[in-house]
Amino acid sequence: MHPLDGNAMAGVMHDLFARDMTTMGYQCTGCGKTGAVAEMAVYASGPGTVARCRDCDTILLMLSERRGMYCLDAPGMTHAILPLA
Amino acid sequence: MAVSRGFVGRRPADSARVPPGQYVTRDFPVLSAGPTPYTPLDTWDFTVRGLVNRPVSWSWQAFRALPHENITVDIHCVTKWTKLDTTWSGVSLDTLLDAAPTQASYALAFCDGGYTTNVPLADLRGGQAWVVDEYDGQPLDPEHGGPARLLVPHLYFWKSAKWIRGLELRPADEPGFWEMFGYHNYGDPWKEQRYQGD
Amino acid sequence: MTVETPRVTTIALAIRDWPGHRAGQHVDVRLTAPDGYQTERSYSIASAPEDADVSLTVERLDDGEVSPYLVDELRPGDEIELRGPVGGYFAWDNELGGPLFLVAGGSGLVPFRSMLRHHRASGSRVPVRLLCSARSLELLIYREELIKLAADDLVDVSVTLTREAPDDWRGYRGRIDPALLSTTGWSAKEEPLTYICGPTAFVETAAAGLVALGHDPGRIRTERFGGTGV
Ligand SMILES: Cc1cc2nc3c(=O)[nH]c(=O)nc-3n(C[C@H](O)[C@H](O)[C@H](O)COP(=O)(O)OP(=O)(O)OC[C@H]3O[C@@H](n4cnc5c(N)ncnc54)[C@H](O)[C@@H]3O)c2cc1C
Ligand SMILES: [Zn+2]
Repeated sequence: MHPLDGNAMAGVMHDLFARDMTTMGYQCTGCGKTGAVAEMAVYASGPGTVARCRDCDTILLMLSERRGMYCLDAPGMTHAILPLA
Repeated sequence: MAVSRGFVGRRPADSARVPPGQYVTRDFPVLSAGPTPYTPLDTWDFTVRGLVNRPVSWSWQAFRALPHENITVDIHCVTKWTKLDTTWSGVSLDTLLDAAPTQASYALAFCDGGYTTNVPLADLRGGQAWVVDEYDGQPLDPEHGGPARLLVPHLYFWKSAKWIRGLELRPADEPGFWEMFGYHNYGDPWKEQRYQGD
Repeated sequence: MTVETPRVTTIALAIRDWPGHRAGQHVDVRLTAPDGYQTERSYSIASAPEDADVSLTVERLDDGEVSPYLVDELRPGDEIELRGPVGGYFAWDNELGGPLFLVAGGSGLVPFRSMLRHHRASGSRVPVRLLCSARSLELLIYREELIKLAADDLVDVSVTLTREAPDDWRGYRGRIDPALLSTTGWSAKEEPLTYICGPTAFVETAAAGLVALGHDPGRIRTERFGGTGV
């Protein structure tokens, strides 16, 4: 399996948040790692898109699209912190 | 919405054999929500637990020694591909469930990597479902769920959990991984049960 | 439309109300079939913010849904739907400084073409080292432009060919590894700003190689296109 990264979600997230999210930072609830949204490991081949922590595989974001409507869950993200760049 | 001239995309196949909205693919797309686990066979086992008198487990060797069937079926993925005449070898769930008498009505399949999916027990019985360890005459590739995956071809393919390690039998239904995130609880491709409410 | 290699084409787009972009950003292309079926893919912007056109460079994957359409079917005058520009993380402009190390696998070179054109057009003094990996010389995109770019004293271009190389090839051969990254890039002490782009497996190898060489992971930015190595 060759996951993508958070850059691949830039367009959808821009639609959802009306701003660039790739430079936003996050902290993983699984291992405490902090990183940029662009660095998440993104699995886009399943029914929905799953973004995981690159270090510990904790699920950070789940995105599903049904008939043009997005549904976003963020089970593994404690904080969205400040833009990194 | 402007039509892109000359674009057809992967088109739904018009055939009685292919459920609505599906197109036929010749390759075998890898469907994954996480990294591929590589479980050594000497630590692998398959367990039926939950609403049973005593949980039953099979080591890899014991599982390989169970009677295997050859299976040729069409599979239908909710991401809209259908693959015809896939050939597998595996153990019927009738064989596995007979070893663990239960009053339960539902099963939650659990897997290496943390994936789960729920299926009514009735859908796992009666020669409709298998735990398969070979695809196309070869040991099942880890990318496609090896060493062993569930195969429930009459439901969307996310129900055919990769890297399966066992079944938890339950009196009540509980949603699995995709089902929790809005995918259909049952997933019948012929009724296009993709999302909750379909 | 410009044919770059037998499988790769650059498409120039005329876009109404283009808001401008930063070098390294991408767009999402959405295609719609007559029956309403839609699908979407990301493509990096190949042109610099200073260029007149916005262009994309697309590699055709034989069993792909979208790339064969863009490479073989799209004709001048056709319309496609875009979302973007998006992605501020994998973007570079002169203010971010350097020294810059750009590592490209296959079509991962696309966003770097934008960055290098921007580098020149903005008169940047940032020194740049570019390492490209391609299967063969025929499959290396932007060949002519790379030769011209390399004429700039500030820009150093290295190419490695992984499958076949001409007998008189003077560049590198074989897949990227830490040795090649250290000969063609900067040392960790020089604290370069590194961008790595290409197929997922290629990006992982390059990033792990640089971290093993002591580079600060915080100064390495990555963008994965999916798929295996180059
Ligand atoms: C941020 C971002 C920027 C991108 N920029 C560019 C760009 O500038 N130019 C460009 O040509 N592509 C780029 N890509 C890749 C592009 O988005 C598509 O994935 C690619 O064109 C394949 O789409 P398809 O519909 O033709 O193939 P699909 O129908 O999606 O896939 C067909 C088969 O190819 C495999 N596959 C998918 N992607 C790749 C890949 N990248 N390499 C090898 N195998 C793959 C799939 O697993 C599948 O088996 C970018 C991707 C991302 C996430
Ligand atoms: Zn983590």
